[in-house]
Amino acid sequence: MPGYTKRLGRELSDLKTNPAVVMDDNPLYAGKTFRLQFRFTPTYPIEAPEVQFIASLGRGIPMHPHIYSNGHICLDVLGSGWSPIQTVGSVSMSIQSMLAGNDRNGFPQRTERPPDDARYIASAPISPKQTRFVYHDDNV
Amino acid sequence: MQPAELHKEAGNALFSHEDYDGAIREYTKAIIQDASNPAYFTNRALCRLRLHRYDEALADCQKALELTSDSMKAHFYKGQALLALDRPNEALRSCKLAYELSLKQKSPSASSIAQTVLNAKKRRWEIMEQRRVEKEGHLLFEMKDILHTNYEMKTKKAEQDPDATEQERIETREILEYEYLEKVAQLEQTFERSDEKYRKRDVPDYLIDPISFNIFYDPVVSKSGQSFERSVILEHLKNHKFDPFTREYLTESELRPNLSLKAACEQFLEENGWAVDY
Repeated sequence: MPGYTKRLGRELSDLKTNPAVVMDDNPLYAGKTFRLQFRFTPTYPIEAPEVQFIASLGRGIPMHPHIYSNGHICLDVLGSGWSPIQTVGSVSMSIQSMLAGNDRNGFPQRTERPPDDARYIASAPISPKQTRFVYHDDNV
Repeated sequence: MQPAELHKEAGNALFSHEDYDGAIREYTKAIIQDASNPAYFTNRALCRLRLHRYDEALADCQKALELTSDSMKAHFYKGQALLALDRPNEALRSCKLAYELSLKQKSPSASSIAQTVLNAKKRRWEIMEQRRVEKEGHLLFEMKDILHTNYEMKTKKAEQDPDATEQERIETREILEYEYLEKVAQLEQTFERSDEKYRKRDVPDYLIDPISFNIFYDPVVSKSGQSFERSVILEHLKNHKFDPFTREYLTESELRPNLSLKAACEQFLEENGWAVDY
């Protein structure tokens, strides 16, 4: 499929002039830096990119009930909710809002991993796109 | 199988291994056996395109079109050859015909044909722009010419330097080329600053396909009122039957051409051919 590399080039230059940043003062993640990895297949943007958190020195995997400890993210826009008008910027915004909206008031379990974390990472595919996530709890 | 078909199969196999010379020999044998099959000519034309032998590619396309006037490939390869030969107006005609045929045949080539149409428009604009610049900026033109002559002189001199090793020659050539391009860019920038007209502008978002980020060539509108490049939204609808904006159920038959948007893009490109690469 020709022609789509140009789109990535433009997305990159748009991001440089206009970084996708959500103002957030959620104390759960304040002052922390996380690293997201995007992988694009030749069918991008018809198909979703493969997106996950990557742990490295000084950068962990954010604690969140929709983020597995191997960095895989359970978020509908990365799977069945993908639409080709989404961009790297809009996906980054969605993930930031997901973190910003993690309100643990009265829900102590919300600083934790998903309930099936141990089971999932034991058998998780390398690519998060091969997982069919069930998008259970929309309140986080 | 017919002997001609056997040669064609052999040619296809060589083609897939990027042995274009070998493939041309096989297709030629096929043509000698049977000169009435346009596919032998279009296949050979594609090999010649890959080898940058555009005149020969063009001749093959002509022959294929004499045999059948509605060969999408023949029109498309002809358009590519003409564009490479710097005949953008003729290229545009051929590619437009190829585009119509590709839609009729639901060919996956539609989007690359659309892109070639845009490239031909860009080239046509470039030629006109060059004429304009020539008229309005004789000075810039002359200066560029001087830079080029100077660069060629220096390169020649460096090539003939008896003391330099081959490696040094290559490096000097690269440095000279870099310096030359840098100077041309600087010169253009200086002239751009002095003349508002030379300055690139932005392409308005409404002329850009929201999926491929290209300027529209053949926009269609969905029932939500959003426009998409036809070949791109068809690619999406192949596996996903929904409107990318509203996620409402959407099928190909619900798309309508957006003629006024198409006209707006055409007019914009007439004046701003660079927008093809935007």
